[in-house]
Amino acid sequence: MNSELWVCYLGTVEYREALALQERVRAARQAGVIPDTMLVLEHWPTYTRGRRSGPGELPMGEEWYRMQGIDVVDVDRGGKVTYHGPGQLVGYPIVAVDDVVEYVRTLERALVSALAEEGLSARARPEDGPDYTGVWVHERKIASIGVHVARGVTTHGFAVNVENDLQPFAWVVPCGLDGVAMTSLIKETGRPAGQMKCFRRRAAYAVARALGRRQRLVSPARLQAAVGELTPA
Amino acid sequence: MSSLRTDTLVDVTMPQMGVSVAEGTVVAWRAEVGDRIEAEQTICEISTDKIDTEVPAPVSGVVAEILVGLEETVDVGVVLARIAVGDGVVETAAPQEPPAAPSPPPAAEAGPAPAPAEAPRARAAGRRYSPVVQRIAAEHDIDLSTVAGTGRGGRVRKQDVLALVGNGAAAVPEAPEAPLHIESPYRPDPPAVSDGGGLSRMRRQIGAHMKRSLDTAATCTTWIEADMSRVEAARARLGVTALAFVARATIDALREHPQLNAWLDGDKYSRVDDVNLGIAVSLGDDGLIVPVIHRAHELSVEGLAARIKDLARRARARELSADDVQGGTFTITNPGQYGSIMATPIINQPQIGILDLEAVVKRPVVLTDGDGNDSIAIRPMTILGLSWDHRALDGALSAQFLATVRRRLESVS
Repeated sequence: MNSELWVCYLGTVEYREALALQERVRAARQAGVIPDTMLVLEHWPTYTRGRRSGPGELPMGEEWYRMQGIDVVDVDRGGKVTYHGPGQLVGYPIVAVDDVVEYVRTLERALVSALAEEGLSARARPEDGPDYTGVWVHERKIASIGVHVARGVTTHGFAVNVENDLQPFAWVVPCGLDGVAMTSLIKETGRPAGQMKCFRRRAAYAVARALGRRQRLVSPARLQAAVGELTPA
Repeated sequence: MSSLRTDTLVDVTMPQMGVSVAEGTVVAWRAEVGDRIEAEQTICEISTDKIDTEVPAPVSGVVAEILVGLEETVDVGVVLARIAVGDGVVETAAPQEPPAAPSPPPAAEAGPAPAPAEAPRARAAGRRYSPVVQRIAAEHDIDLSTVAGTGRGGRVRKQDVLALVGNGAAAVPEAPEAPLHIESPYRPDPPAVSDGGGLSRMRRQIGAHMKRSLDTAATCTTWIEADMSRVEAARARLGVTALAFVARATIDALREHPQLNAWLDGDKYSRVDDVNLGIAVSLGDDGLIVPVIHRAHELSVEGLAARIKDLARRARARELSADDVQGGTFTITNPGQYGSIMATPIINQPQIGILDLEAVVKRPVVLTDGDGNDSIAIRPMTILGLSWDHRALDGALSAQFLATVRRRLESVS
């Protein structure tokens, strides 16, 4: 059972709903009821704001962003404001780890290899320090990574810009000095939209392989049932 | 001997989150001093390298001390908090033990399960006694509160009690000392003392940005000296700063040499039509920020002066929007108000040039009239420095560019 990574495709999910599911899956993983599991999904347009985000990071004011159709959610995590939206592949691996830094490096390697299969030469840049965690194409950021660990089990994970609108990234102050340029798979390759279905399979496979696990697709219903056994209504 | 609290203190230390990680930052405390906490319950959260980790309490007890504040960064192994295990009551005003106080040797076995009843320690009137001192005192019926300590801070040492017992050394069996603190399971290394305070987030950002630029660009700096007589006269008339004139002259030079109004990202060189001029604004101790005047080529000297003033004010009031700091194609930095005359600025990536304006200083200069006669005159002079990326251009172009800036400044009417 330990050599499996359950992979569950959830479609497009509200951020808060996905967060609640992550917490339930984590509880089940901590209790050893399920093996390591990865949720694969997209979010409706949302800015998530970390505990340490300052008010200046949403310079236009919350109302303005909501008028653009983007929800603003406060999340109990470190870090700054980030954006999620349709066309961005989100993966939440809920796995037991010992060395979390090595785990983050593993995620980076997996995404680099998945992007390489799309013909895109991307790289991680751990030598540049924690602020550069993620995956980059030259100096442009294509994937973000953020991980939370509780009792040895991770939540949150990665977000790869596949074919999402990049404009909302430019509407927030990254953190004062220089805006990190965001890019996406279709922007870099010049391909039309419609890449998500293929890329999410590549990404899930690459993550499972990098973690040394055998991928096993489970339906949302199956996952709910397994997790539900643990959580009393 | 009065019967008082008997607490065993258990350390909660900064966990090792990965083999390559030496430190972490406390980002949230989930419990306060005096709170009851259960084993495995999260006591705090720490962050490193985009990873947040919940730190579980190693034992059940009461939070006795919190030693590391919010947003503080400490090395792996440093004690974050102490949990009192025992009957669960802690004197809130107990004086903190000085860190240098002598302590018994570390626990032979680090185990998460404490045995509070084995080695009760009294803690009265601000004095603490080691288990061995208490044991000797109990065996010989000595009131420890009457013993004068010779240890640091008046602490009662084993020798002090033994001296009262007489030649009691023989009477006291050499038993291994019980641990003062039971160590938490998260302690890979002996605690190291952290240095005083980390860099602010903005400082680290600036540092990373600057270092990245130096690691990326083939940075080279060229200087030229310009006569600012005409600028000084005009600026007195218009009531604007020299910076506004230098900005205008720079824009004109960028129009004449558009190769410098560009970005170089990896191997991708892109020339930009608009001049989006970044102006470095100091935020005092906090750092600096580079707001951008978009489409600066459309503005007059007065217009530029107004925009610079507005951006500087908003930067210092922290009112800049995302658009205000993005899209710059060239940057001017102007730290000259303190009298410095030359600098080697660092290019603001992915731009390929940055112009440095330092102080305008009166100097004797040699002037040549139309007939070729030389004379010495006193003129307000400044040294303009251009740092440029040798990957994108060569020295001749940078010199031509600077000559254009000078020509524009010296022909201001």
